[in-house]
Amino acid sequence: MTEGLVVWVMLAPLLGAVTALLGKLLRPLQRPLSILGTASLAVPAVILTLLLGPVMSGESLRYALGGWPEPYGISLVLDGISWFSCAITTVIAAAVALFSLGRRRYEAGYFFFLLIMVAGMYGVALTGDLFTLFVSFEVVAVTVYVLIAWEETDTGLAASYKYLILSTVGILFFLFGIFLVYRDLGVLSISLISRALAEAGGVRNTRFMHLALAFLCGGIGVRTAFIPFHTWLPEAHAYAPHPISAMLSGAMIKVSFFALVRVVLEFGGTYLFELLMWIGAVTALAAVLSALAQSDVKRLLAYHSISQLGYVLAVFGAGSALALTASFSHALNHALFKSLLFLTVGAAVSFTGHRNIHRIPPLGRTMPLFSAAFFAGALSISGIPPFNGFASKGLITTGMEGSAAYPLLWVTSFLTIASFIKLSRIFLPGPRRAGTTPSSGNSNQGSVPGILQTSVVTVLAILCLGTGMFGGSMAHGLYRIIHGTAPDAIPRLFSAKKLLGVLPAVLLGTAAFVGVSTQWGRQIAGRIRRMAPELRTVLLFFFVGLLVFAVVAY
Amino acid sequence: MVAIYVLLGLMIVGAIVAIEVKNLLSAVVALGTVGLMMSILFLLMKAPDVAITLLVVEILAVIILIRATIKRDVEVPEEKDRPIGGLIALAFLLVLTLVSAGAFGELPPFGEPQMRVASYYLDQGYSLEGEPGGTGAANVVASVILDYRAYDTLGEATVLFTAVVGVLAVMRKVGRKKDRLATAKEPTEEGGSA
Amino acid sequence: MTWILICAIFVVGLWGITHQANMVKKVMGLSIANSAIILLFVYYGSLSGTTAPIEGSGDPMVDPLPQALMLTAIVVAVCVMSLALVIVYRLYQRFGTLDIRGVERGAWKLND
Repeated sequence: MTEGLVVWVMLAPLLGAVTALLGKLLRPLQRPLSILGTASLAVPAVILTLLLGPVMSGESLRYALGGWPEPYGISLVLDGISWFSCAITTVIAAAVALFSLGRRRYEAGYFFFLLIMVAGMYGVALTGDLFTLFVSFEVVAVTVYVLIAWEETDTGLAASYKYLILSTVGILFFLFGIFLVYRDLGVLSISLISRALAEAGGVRNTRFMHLALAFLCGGIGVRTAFIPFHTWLPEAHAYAPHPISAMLSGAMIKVSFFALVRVVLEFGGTYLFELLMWIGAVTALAAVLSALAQSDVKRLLAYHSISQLGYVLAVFGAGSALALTASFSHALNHALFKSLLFLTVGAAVSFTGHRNIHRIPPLGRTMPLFSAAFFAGALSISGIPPFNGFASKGLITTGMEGSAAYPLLWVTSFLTIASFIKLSRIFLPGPRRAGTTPSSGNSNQGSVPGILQTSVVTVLAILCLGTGMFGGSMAHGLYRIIHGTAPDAIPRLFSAKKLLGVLPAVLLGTAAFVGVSTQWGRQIAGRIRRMAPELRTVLLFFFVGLLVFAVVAY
Repeated sequence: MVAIYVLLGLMIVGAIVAIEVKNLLSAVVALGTVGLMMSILFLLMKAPDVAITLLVVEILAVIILIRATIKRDVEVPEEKDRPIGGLIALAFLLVLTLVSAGAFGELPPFGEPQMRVASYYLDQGYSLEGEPGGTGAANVVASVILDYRAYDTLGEATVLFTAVVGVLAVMRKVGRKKDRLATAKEPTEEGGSA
Repeated sequence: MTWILICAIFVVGLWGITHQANMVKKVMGLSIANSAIILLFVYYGSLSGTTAPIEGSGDPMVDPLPQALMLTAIVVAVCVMSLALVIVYRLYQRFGTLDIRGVERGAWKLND
C-alpha cells in the first residue's frame, strides 16, 4: 500500500504540468490553472512526510512498476538518499513556483516546463534503474534548455546552446557506460548491478566496469558541475530567469549530485573517494577565486554555487558515515541559502535593470525585507553563526579531520566572506528609490516585489536561521534518514572553539576584500574574468576529466 | 557479415562528408545517407522496429528540421583557427578509443550473463494474457517497451511532448518579438505569448 | 572488427562536435555520435539469435531489450536535436552568424 504512494510523487507534478498548460488554451483560466498546477506539489510533500517514518527506521521502499519483479521491470526505490533528494526538490520547487506566481510575466508555458522539470528530478531521485535514470536526466535537460532561453535574451540563448552541447556529450558517454554495464552484467537495475559487482569482488576486479563507472560519473558530472565539467554553469545560471537560477542552483545540481552518490556507492567505487575529495577541494577554491573576480552579480552567485558544491563533494570523498551526513547537510543548507540569494539578488536586478555590482545602487531602504533576507543568506554562505552555513561547515570540519585537502576548503571559507562583503554593497542602506522607472525601455525594470514574493523570501530566510540554530538536531535527523540508525555522536556545533574559529576567517576575509579592491587587485580580477573558456576548450576539459576518471582505477 | 562492414564503411564516409563539407545542404544530404545506411543495418541486425522508427524519425524529422530551420543562402564562415586545439581533441579521442579498445578486447563470449533478462522476455513474452508473466504480445520488443519497461516509455513521451511545446515556445516568440518592435516600447509580457 | 568501425563513427561525431565552429555542424556531430551508440547496443544485442524478436518461426530470437532501449534513445535524441536546431536558428537571427566563436564573443560581456 505505502509503496504504491511512491509513484504519485512523480505523477502529481506531471499532471500539474498538463493542468498548467491547459491555461494556454483556456485563456481566462490561465492564472487559476497555473495556481492549480503549482498546488500539485503539495502531493509529493504530503507523501514524503507520510513516508518519513519508514525511511528513518532504515527501510527502503521498493515499488515494482506494473508488478514486474526487478530484473525484468523497473522499480522505484525510496531510501534515505532518494527521500532526501526528493525533499530538497520539493522545498525549492515550491518556493520557486510561488515566487514565480508573484510575477505576472511568467505564464502557463513557464509553469508547464517548471513542473515537468520537477517531475524529471523526482524521477532521477527515485528510479532504481540505470536506463530510466538516463531518461529522467533527459526529461530534466529538455526543460532546462527551454527555461534558460525563456526570456529570449542573447545571453540566455547562447548559454542554453552551450549547456545543450556539453550535457548531451555527457549523456552520450553516460549511455556508453550503460552499454558496458549491460554488456558485462546483463542487468540494468542498480541494486542488482551492485549485487553482481559484489559477487565479482568489486569494480576493480571486473573486466571493464571501472570504465563504465568512469563514463557514468562523467555523464552525471556534467549535470553536477564540478571541475572540470563545471564550465556551463556560470553562464546558464547567470543568464536564466531569476527563479530558474534559484531552481538550478538550489535543486538541480543537488539532485544530480545525489545520483552520483548513489551510483558511486552502489558500484562500490570507493577508489574514487580520494579523487572526488581532491576534485571537490580544488573546485571549491578555484570557483571562489573566479567568483571574487566577477562584477556581474548573478555570475558571482553562480560561481559560488560551484564552489559550495565543491565543499559537498570534498566531504563526500572523505568517506565516513559522518562525512556523508555533513555532505548532505551542506547540500540542504546550500539549497536553502543559494535559492534565497538568487531570488533576492534577482529581485534587485529586476528592480534596477542593471547586473553590474557597481551600477546597482544601494537598495537597503527601498526593499528592506529583501535586504534583510539577503543578509541572512549572505551570513549563511559565509558560515557566520547562528546561520546554517556555520552548522554544516562545522560538520564538514569534523568530517574531514586530518585530511590533506582541508586547508583548501579553509582558504575558500574566508574568500567566500570576502566576495560577499563585495556583493553586499547592493543591499546596503541608501537613498529610497521610486517604484517604477521605465526610462530605458527595459521591460524588466522597476518591478517592485509583491507580497507573495516577499513572503517566500522571508520564509527561506527563517529556514536558513532555523536550520542553523537547530543544526545539531538537524544533523541527528539527517543521519537517521541516510543511515537508518541513530548516530553514535554528533559533535557539538556551537562550542567555544568553533565560534572563535570564525573570527580569523572574518578578519582574513575582510583583508582579502580590501586586497581585491585595490588597483592591483582589480587588474587581476579583470584578467581572471576574461579567462572564460570557449566551447571547444570546454569540451577538451570534459575529455580530460573523463580520462582522469578512467585512469584512476588502474 | 560483409554487408555489415560495407554499410558501416559507407556510414563512416557519409559521417566524414557531413562533418567536413562546407555547403550545409550537402551536409544534410550526407547525414541523410548515414541515417538510411543505419536503418538498413538495423534490418540486417534483426531489429525491424528500430529500423522503422529510425527511418521515420531520423530521416524525416531531422532532415526536415535542418532544411526548414536553415535558410537557403546561409553563408558559413569557415575560418579554421588553432589546429592545435583540434589535434589535442583528436589525440584524446584516440586515447579514449584505445582505452575502450582494451575493454572490448576482453569481451566475454556471448551467452550467459547477458541473456539473463532477455531469455525471460523471450520465454514469457508470448504466453497468453491469462498466464502469469505473459503479456500476450507477439512482438517481444513491443511487450518490453509497453509493459515491462513502460516507465521508460512514459519518460520518452514526456520528453517528446516537452520538446514539441519547447520548440513552439522558442519559435513563437519570433512573432511576438516582431509585435513588440512594432508597438515600440510598450510594457510587454503580461498576458503571455500568443 | 565491427566495434572498431562503430567506434570510428563515434569518433567522427565527437570530432565534429569539438572541431567544427559551425553550430549546425556541432548538432550534426551529436546526431552522428548518438547513432554510433545506438548501433553499438543493437549490434551486440543481435549476436545472440538469428531472427527478429517477433513470435513465429521458432528460430532463436535476438535480445529484445537493447532494441527496446534504443527506441527510447532515438526519440529522446531527436527531441534534443530539434530543440538544439531551434536555438541555433534563434541565435542566428540574433547574431547573424552560425559561428560559435562569434556568438560567444558577442554574448558574454565580460569587460563590463
